Amino acid sequence: MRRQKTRNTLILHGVLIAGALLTVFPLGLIALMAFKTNPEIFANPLALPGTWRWEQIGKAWTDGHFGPYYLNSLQVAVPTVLMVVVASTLAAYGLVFGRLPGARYVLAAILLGLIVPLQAIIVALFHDLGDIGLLNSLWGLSLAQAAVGLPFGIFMMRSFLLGIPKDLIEAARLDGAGDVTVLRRVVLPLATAPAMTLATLQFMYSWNDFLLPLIILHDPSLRTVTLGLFYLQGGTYTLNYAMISAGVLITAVPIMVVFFVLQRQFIAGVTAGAVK
Amino acid sequence: MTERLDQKSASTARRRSNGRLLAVTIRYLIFLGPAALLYVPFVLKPLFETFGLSLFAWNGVSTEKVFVGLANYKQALGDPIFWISLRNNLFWVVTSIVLPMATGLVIAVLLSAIKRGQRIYSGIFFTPVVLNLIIVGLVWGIIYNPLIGPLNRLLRTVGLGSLAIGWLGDRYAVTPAIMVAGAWTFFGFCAVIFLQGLRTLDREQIEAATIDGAGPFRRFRKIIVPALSDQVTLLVVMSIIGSFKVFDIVYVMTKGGPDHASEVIATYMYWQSFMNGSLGYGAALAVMLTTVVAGASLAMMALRERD
Repeated sequence: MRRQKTRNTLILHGVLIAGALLTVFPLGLIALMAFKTNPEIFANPLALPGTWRWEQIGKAWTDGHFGPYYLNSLQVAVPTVLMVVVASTLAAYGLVFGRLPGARYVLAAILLGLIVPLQAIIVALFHDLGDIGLLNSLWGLSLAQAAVGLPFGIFMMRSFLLGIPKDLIEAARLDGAGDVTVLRRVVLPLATAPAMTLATLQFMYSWNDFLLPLIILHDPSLRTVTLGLFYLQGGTYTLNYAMISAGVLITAVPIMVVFFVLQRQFIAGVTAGAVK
Repeated sequence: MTERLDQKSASTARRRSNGRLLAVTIRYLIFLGPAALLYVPFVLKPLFETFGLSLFAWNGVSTEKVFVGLANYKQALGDPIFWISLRNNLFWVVTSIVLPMATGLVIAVLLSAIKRGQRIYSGIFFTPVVLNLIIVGLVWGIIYNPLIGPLNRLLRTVGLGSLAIGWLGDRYAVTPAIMVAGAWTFFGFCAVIFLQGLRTLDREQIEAATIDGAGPFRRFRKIIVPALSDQVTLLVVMSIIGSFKVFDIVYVMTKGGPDHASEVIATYMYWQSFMNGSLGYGAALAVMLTTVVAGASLAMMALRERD
């Protein structure tokens, strides 16, 4: 019985390892290509590189302008995350504990933003941003991303705040605490964890966003990492698979490192985003 | 005397209600002001403008917009590329329900049966979920590449060289090829959701069934599948929403080509609005897309409320 159990466990792990290898195979393949010459890639895409050409990564980094693009991405993502977390928390507090008459109509208006796909508004958004001079600007992109991310943030913070007992808030109010004090002393200490999850998720959305940068940023020097990678193919490098692969590696590795470090928060956040 | 008293209390009441109104206004401004500053100009306004724009003919440059009523919507009905796009979206719905969910379910069942290493395996299967779709599109573009792609090389090695085609250049193969890449980014998510569902499953029930002589397939069908019905519903609705919103992966791999063969509503809308200068028609496509996605999203929320 025990021996059969061990055998079953071995089979299970065998199948899972095969599945895991199959999953990472496309990434591993690209990683290899990044260190090979184009003739080597054409000769046999699957073979190991003759010599590992680390200098190709440096070349793709420079040619693809990834240094400035990383700074641009940060310059967009950080303000976006701050705006979403602060505005969502305030709005969620107002909707749940703010004693605001007509709050349900506000909630309905926010729900609208949650169910409308981003693609549906980009044309009008493009022209509106142009009218107020926010096209081709990292700030314009940040504001647009924050606005689009807001409905989800408000609903996520709201569903958390709904779980805080009303008595706790009432007790603080009876002690003479105003709204600002209640928010700072009672609600915020409890809301740190969901706010961090929201921040992680929003950072990922902002970093991976493609459509908004595509329509908002026209100047090549303003591109984000994701947009810069897109223009590598067909723009900077056509048919230069070694360099395209190096670009993929440069953009994918940092995401994967952050993911493996914060794996628990990431998976919890992404699935909570779906379930809650 | 009483009259004067009444007057006095009425004015206090008025002052008090004015004060209350002021307090409510201030609370509105403090709590909802920041959100409104972002949400109203950058989401609500463009949303209503899109509805309006769908009733006009406009090339995006000229100052003149011509009111055409529902003509843009009528145009869609007679536009073969619109029907190709819609058919592809529906194809995405079916594939993204079948492929990633089935794979995810199998992986979740396997993972739930092991004691050690669950976290590492989930991490690996989840990696494609966190990568952006530009990375995914470039990676799979190379896999399918007719010159250097390992897929065709593999096919030739195993003697199926006749199947080695230019996957993304073939009008019949292109959409399924992109969908496989899409499934790669979703199955790990399905696996994690199913695994969470399986954690709540009653171990004793399974052991009792095993002792009663139920084989693995019977246990799977009679115990595991019914227990996961909530997760299945969630993932099905998410697949429907995601399949109608799909844009990035198609745009980076084929831009909707060759000759619109892999076009979906979102890429076609983008093409009409930004490349073809038909902003009114693009807006009408956007409104139709919104209707479907919003309907599916509301259905999902209703399902969650029910639980």
